[in-house]
Amino acid sequence: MNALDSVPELAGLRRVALWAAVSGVLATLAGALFDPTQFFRSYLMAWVYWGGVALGCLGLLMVYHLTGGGWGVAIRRLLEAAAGTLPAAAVLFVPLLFGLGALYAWTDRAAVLADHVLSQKAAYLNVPFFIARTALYFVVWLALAHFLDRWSRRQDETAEAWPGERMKRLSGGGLVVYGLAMTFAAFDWIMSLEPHWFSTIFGMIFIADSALGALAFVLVISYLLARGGAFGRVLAPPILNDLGNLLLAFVMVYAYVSFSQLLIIWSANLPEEITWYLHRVEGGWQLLANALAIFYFAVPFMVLLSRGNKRQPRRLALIAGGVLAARLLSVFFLIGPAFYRRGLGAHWLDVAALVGLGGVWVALFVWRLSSRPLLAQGDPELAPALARKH
Amino acid sequence: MAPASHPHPPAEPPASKGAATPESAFIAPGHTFGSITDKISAIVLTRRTPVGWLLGFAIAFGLVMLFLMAVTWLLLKGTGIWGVNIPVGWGFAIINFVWWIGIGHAGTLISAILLLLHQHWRTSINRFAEAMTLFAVACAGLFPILHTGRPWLAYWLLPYPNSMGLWPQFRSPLIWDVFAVTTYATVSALFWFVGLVPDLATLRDRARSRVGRTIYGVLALGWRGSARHWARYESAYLLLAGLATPLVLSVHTVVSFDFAISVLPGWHTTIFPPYFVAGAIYSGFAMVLTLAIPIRAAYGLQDFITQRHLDNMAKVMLATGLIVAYGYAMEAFIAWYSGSFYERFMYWNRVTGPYWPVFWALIATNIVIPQLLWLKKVRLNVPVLFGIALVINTGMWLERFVIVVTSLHRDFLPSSWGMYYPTMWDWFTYVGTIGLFVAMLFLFIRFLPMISIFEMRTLLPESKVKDSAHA
Amino acid sequence: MVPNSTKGILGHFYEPADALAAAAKVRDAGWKHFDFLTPFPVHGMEEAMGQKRSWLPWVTAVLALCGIVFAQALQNYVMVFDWPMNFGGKPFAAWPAFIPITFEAMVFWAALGSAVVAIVAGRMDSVPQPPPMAVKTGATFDRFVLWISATDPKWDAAEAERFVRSLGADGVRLVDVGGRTNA
Repeated sequence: MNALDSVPELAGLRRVALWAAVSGVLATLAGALFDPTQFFRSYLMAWVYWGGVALGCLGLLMVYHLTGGGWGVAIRRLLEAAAGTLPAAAVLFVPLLFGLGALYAWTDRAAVLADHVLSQKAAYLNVPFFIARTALYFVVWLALAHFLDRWSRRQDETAEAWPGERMKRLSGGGLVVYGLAMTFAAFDWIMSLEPHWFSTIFGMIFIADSALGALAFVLVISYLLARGGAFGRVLAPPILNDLGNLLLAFVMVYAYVSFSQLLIIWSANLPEEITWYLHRVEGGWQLLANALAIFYFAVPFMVLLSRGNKRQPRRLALIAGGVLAARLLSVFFLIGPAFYRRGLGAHWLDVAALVGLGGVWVALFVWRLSSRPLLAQGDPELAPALARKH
Repeated sequence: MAPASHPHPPAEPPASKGAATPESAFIAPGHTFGSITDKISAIVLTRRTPVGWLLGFAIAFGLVMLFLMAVTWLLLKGTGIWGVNIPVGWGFAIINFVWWIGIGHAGTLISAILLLLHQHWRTSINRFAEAMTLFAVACAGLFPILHTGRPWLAYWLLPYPNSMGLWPQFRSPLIWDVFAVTTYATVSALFWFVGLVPDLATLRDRARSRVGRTIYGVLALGWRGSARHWARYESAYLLLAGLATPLVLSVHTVVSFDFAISVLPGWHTTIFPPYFVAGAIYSGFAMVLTLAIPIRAAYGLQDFITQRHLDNMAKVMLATGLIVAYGYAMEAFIAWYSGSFYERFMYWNRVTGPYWPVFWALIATNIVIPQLLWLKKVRLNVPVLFGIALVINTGMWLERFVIVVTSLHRDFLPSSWGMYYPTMWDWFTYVGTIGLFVAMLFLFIRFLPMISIFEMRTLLPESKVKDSAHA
Repeated sequence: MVPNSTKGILGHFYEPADALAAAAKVRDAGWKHFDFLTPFPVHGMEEAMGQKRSWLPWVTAVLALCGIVFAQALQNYVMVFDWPMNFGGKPFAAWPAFIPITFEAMVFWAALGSAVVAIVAGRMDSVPQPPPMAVKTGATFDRFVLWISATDPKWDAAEAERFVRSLGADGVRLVDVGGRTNA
């Protein structure tokens, strides 16, 4: 059975994605010719936004394999499809490697040698090591995604328990290396944009942000798919309630780690740390910071407290869509101020790259999703989820 | 009117012991609503007080006396009898405070978070884990109060209009701590008591002695199991769980702020909140296992606290232990990456400085040895698991020692460096609170049901009427 | 106070499924002052008895809000108006530093208040219960006990007894401890 035929919404989503991909990519390429530096900046933000969703989905998938639960069986295929786009996402990361000079101040040897602090870090922050590390992160993620995908396909074919057992075992150790790779990717790709600055919690902020984006994305898509059939039956109110609570928990975790960082750095007020926040509360950036607090925490937090909002598919999808949109703010908040030092600003290429890369990525996602049935027939959690009373 | 007579003969508890319980079950087969009630309430109501209980309580009580002696001497002489000095102004008192508070976290985690996550295995361990929380928080609270030097003035920490016209300083994390710990103690006690009410009613109705009936009766608040009350009860219990969950995370977060808000290398680092919380849960689960394993053996509770419970708790310990290890790794890496001379020196001093044995013992006990928990064979081997739990308890104590002492004893100015050595009185106070903790726990298991009776009833298959009726 | 009734009828069931079925029949037969005493929360009993969802979450929300307002008011009043002092060059109205206590106060108010409200509500809006010390129902042990109070508008002792027996209840027993009903 092909999900594209049975679910018209999926075909519609693919159409939209392809249009976005074509127009966005053309616009981005045109912009890249005129302003390569800006292209790399915009492209980094776009990649962190969409790549973060894919990486977050891989993490959630492993958490599900480890813990089980009705919430996971419903969205499992979506997580797998998103994790399945990672090879393509890795390829899409390659252009950035040609723009390291435009993105990272530490690539300038002379500036590094003239700066006492940066010269201390030169053993870590240098181009060859950066590329080697990035390659290593992708090897870790792709290996995890590959084996999970292979065993998941075997689980569909066989009634035996071993594929499930293996996925569970891989996920245990896998989450450890996944977390480390995510952390150092966050340090390398984002934190080192402002190379003097450092924060030990930054990896957790990136992980929380990606997981939140991933869950919000999956909830929006699952609403599109849940119009009928068995998939809609699995997304019964109790499951939706659990997923809504999970979204609420992630919203709170992101706020928790972000606020912890803010409070600790604000209180100590040390020059090497506080500059990162000064870049984000001056020159109009405070508007973005406030919008982030409101739309990425306060509003979703309040509406997700209500039981009714979580149990209604439409409302939950709306909330998730809002969170997904607000994640644009959070990615822009993390990266943007490193580039736009004169004050709050954005470039039209930011939008073009986001649309173009998003179109490409979503089209890939739909392609991966439609290659398999929407429900994991071999998953032992499926039968109880289907039998559940509405 | 005569007490209820049973039309059915009282249910026989099944003969099966732990060995017959399948590894995957959370309750041994063959139990009925009645046999569960009998088995748990008998520990309180009818079984003779075991000799082991008397012996254990006597030892613990002796340690409480030691504690009182240490406190008396402290009040007579002042905090100078402790090892604290300048530069190490925070010694055992803060180490023990953080250690105890951390231990308390597992109780609330088991009772609240696992409830929200529909983890039914929490049922047989939540009651005594919550009790453990209360006693651990009580022990923890003693330390900062004693450390103030004038504990009789502890109420100055509270915001009240007073004749001095002074208020607490609300921008200080130490004041946040007062609020956090007070709230935590209150809400934990409330949560525990609300959970106890239906069981107190069971004890009231089953108690043979008049005194027992009266005391349990007063505490049961007139509970009789009305379905209308149950509905509201469950609603209230879930709400409390929903509130207790972020609360428990906030408490150790605030404790971590005590350190992280400063500018001291080794204290001032942003990973502290989540890493302290994970460490707290880690040590808490270790303490739950340290207590659950002997108790289930002593009272024959293998039917209720099964292998699978121990296995799950071991897994939670492994997961939180890995987060703690992640925290250490971040500290080490960023200390280097910061490029800051003082950060780098701090870490190097931790690893190779005068306190290097403590640091490496910490790595061994908190990180290396617990990796054995990856092996299922180890998780299912009860004595080994007990040993690992003890090792982790030690490791988490060492962690706080390393954080508190190594950062303080050598800060920015070499001329103000110094060493910290705990005195006999530090040890007496610390060991004394362990005695206090154990003594309170012994009283608890003697006079209150250590496993939630009514929740255990819901674990039986015949209680699941809704699913079977509508499936 | 829990309204106690001195007169009514009791019947036992041994299985929660039977109790649930019986509760639906009692509700459908039009009894109002009835209750089930059970050893644990039987899920589905609220619907079977025709109860509404609890309004307690709203109380909790309002109390949480009160806690937030209280903590913000206290901290801002003390640190900004009553006794402003400079610590570490921070602004007087240092909102990040006020968050932890605001959170704790919110939880404190919400948790304590909800528990008190729940207990008081349990005493206020309940149907008249069986006389407490006179009747040991076994509902705190393993029994599921149906209770119909004589305060019910359609009360008739013989009719009630016939009805309860028709439900298949065991140990059906009319209770009359004399004295006044305080309901």
